[in-house]
Amino acid sequence: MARFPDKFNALSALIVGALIVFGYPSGLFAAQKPQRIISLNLCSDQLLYQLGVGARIVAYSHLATNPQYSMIAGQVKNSRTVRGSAEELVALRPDLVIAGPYSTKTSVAMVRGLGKRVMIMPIATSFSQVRSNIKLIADAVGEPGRGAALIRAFDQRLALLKLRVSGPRPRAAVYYTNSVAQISGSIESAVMKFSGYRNIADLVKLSPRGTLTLERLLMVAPDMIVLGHRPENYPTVLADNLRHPALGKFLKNHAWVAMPERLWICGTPTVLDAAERLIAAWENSSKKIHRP
Amino acid sequence: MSTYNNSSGAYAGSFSRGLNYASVFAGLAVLTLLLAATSLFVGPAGLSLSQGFKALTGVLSVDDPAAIIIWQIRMPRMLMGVLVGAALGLSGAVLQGYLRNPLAEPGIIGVTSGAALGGVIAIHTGLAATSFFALPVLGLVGSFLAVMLILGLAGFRGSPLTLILAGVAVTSLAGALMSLVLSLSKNPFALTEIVFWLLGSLQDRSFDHVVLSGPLILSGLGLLLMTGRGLDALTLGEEGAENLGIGLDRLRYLIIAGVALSVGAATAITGAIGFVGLVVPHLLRPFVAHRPGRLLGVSMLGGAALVLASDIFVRFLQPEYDIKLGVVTALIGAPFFFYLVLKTRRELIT
Repeated sequence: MARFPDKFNALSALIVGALIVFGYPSGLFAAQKPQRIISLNLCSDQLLYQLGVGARIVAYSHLATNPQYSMIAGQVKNSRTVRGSAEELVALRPDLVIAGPYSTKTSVAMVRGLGKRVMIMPIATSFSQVRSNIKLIADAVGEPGRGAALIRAFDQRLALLKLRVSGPRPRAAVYYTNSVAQISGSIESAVMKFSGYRNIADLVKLSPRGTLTLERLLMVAPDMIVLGHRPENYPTVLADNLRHPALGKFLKNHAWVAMPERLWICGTPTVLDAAERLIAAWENSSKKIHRP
Repeated sequence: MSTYNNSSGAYAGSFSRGLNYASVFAGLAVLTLLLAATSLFVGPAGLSLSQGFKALTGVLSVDDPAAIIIWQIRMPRMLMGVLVGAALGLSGAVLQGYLRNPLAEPGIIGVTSGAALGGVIAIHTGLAATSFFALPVLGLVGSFLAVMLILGLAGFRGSPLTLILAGVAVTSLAGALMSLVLSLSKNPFALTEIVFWLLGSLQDRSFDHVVLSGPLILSGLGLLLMTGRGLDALTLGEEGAENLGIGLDRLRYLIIAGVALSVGAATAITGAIGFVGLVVPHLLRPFVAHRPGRLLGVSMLGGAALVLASDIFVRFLQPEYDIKLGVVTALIGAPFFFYLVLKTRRELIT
């Protein structure tokens, strides 16, 4: 969800701009709070839930019930989910459809053509975008007060965590299936930076898609290896880099931490759980391993 | 040389060929060893020669990254390359001899596709995660079914045409089923993975894989190496072979089991590496006086050498991009295939 090149940020900024200009007034004319909301995006699923408007949601995205990616899988497991075909959407008679910028484009355009109110939520790749997305969704569902409260809570926790980050900035690599390391311009890299790390992808030359072969990972030897995928969740030969005995042997003498995707796949306040995990991982490893 | 042979009669001729064979065999063995050694010194980590030697000779601690890279990453990768290359080269030589057909090859007749399908099913149904042996066993089942299907469709003495048609049918069927399984998979990487299965790669193959597939591949190679005398006799035709005391049924079972075991277990680990089984026997045939039995040992070594060389080449070219092995073997093999098609066409016309 989050590993997109920078140029998409410009695109999402444009979309936000367009929304503010064209979308907001129509929201004002709607006057009352939307009562039948469809969320087509994992990230808006979670923001809506955190804003406490679950009762007004007629359908979540199909990923919302997947505990690997979703923080609210348990809470919404009996709710209706949709993949996002136009047919499904129209049948649910929504008064607000919230979608992400990339997937379900065609069906969203069709639904919009039918006169339904549609909102595109950009992908947050920074903490300020986390805040702006909360505000965007909260305003759209008519709960600006709850949005402001959520942002306040986010900022308070951010400030508390910040106090725990100090000293040298260790090099960290987030390592994924298919020998890919997390590149910059993503919410994950923003979380790494906030948690006091330097992203290895900025320090060594990687291919454009961030390929970091196992051999090079071992040679680069980052101070902290963040395992971004659990190989058990990825039954594919492409996850053999994570199953490789060489990695296991290497990690015996190196600091590492496993990061569940659901903590930071979306730019929601949950990313601070990921940040806390990263901060704690370094605190613990500095205690265990004596560093010169 | 040849005038000397001709003038001194049959004995000298066969003697000279024997010597030739031994030197070809020894030469290939040395080449394979050299490539295997080189393979340990090539890779994206960019280890220096001295680091490599220190790691190999145990000067470095076993926990040193360089030692882990050499022993845990490059060593199994090299061994897996030797095993898969040997399986493909030998199977190609045996199939060409048995079917007396220059186009017979595990890749072209669909055996590798069947094995790859087995591998895909093992991984994406989760069987491979629950049982250690599911991966090679399903690969083996896939290749076994493909061999049976080919022999059933094309017949024992299949003409080049029926064999290729049957191969195309089996390959496209296996390919379609593979796409189906991968499309149904919930795994977000499933569609990226198809390239691995179609073209093959030794990336991230570990000792787990070697241990898993090695015994099966080696026993398959053993069975195939026992077919030499039978294949030699078959050059006289089936009746001639039976007159020489060759049990044709036994020969057929040896070949089916040997190809299924070796190619099946290898492909389930590395994906379908094409053209090795086609090119290697053809290149080596002139050196063994066109005797199918003698072609076996050298094709096994030649296959290993070709796969090792291709794997060194892909790592040398673009270590960070994991160019698939099948790309290189196809670049070598496809022109060769064109040549064979043209030759076959000329033979059909005349």
